[in-house]
Amino acid sequence: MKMKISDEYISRYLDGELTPEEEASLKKKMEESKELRARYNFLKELGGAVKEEEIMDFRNQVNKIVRNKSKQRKNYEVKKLIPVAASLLAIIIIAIFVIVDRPDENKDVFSNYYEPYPLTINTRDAGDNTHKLLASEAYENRNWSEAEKEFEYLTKKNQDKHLFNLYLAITKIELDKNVEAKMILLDLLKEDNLLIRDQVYWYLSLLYLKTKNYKKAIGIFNIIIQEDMYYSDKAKDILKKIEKEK
Amino acid sequence: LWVFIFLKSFKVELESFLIEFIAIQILASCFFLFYLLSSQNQRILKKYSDLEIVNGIRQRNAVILEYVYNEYYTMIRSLVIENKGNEQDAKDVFQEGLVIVFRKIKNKSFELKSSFKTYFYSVCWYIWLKELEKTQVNIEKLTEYMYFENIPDNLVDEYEMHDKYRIYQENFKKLKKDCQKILKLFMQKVPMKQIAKKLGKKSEQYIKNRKKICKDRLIENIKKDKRYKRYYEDEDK
Repeated sequence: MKMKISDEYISRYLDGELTPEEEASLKKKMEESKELRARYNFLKELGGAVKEEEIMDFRNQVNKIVRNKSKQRKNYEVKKLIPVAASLLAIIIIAIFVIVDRPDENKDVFSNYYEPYPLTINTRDAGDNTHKLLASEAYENRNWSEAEKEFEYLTKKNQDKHLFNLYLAITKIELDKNVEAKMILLDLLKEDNLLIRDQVYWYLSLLYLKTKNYKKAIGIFNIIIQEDMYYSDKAKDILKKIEKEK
Repeated sequence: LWVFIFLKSFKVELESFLIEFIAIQILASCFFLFYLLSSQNQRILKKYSDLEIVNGIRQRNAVILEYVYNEYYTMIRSLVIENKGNEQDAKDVFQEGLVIVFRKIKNKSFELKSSFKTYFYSVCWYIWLKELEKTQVNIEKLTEYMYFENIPDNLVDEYEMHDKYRIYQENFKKLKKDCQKILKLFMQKVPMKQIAKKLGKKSEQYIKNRKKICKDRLIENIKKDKRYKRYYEDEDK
């Protein structure tokens, strides 16, 4: 019966503990058996590996360095992000204040100087005063859509009434119907003997300011100043502010 | 200064406390960044020559080993990560690369034929190539760089043995301390009597039995190791 050679027996051979006869017999068996040869090689390699104490210690040393350094590296990467994050935060804060909260200077000028023209409609005229009363009331109460309706009615019925057109233009400005307002004001300027010429120029210039048509706004402000109109002081102030902005 | 210039350019009138707050924050960030950069610089300030690195590795000098990590880990990490590996693979490749270099450097006749950087990179590149081969990943991209010319002498032949040794040694290190001690002394051919004495045991038989248990456990663990199975199965084929 064939006996299986144990690993222990091979180890004894590797340690030189076998007799010359036993060694010869094992060598012969190894030549014949691939499996035995593989076990012998494995045990031989294992013995060699275990003896490499210095290599094992070195690997351990490198492993510790790699672990520590990679921890430091992670910490460093986190720390590195702090100033970046802080800077980003600062930039975001600045951006919020500069971009989001940054007031539109010219819009500011418009809202500082614009106010609806005070009511000067005479409601005690002869004839039908109902629409005049309704228009005045709506204008006074800032019910702009109602006022628009009434002033549109009045301008159609009273073609020569420039004042109604001015109020209609103002209600259109309030309703953000800027193009329509502009057309009304420009049409008014074509009229001869316009008593409210100063007012028309003034609201037209403000309308241009509102719609960011600064070139035209400045042109009209200059006319107001040159012709020393009622609003010339205000026009000068506005021009100064616009200049400063530039 | 930057904040003020920035704000001035936009002509924004902010409350002074807000400006101060932002300015302080930026200033603090700058100081912190400066601190980090300077501490980082201190680490990389000292440069070592290739000869100093080789001698340092030979003597297992911790400062040099850390220097090697600081200088070359990022390079090895890129090599591995850009070629289908991950952070852990990069650490393993770096570690084994350095172990192989140490193995080579220990040999007194060791001679550096290129710069240490090229040499170390080539070793790590070869290790990673072999790892990819095991996983049967397409290695065309890696092989096209042809670092073979820089591969240390005999590494191609010795790598398999190094890898097997690594498996054995890592499993050996997982054994209990007394097992490691007994096996180590036994491999060093220290007589049983002396081993027993060193370990404070009276009975030689105990050492003999313990040695058998430890060795069997080690062999069993190695044979269970997936990495070893690869070689074992190859041999079977």
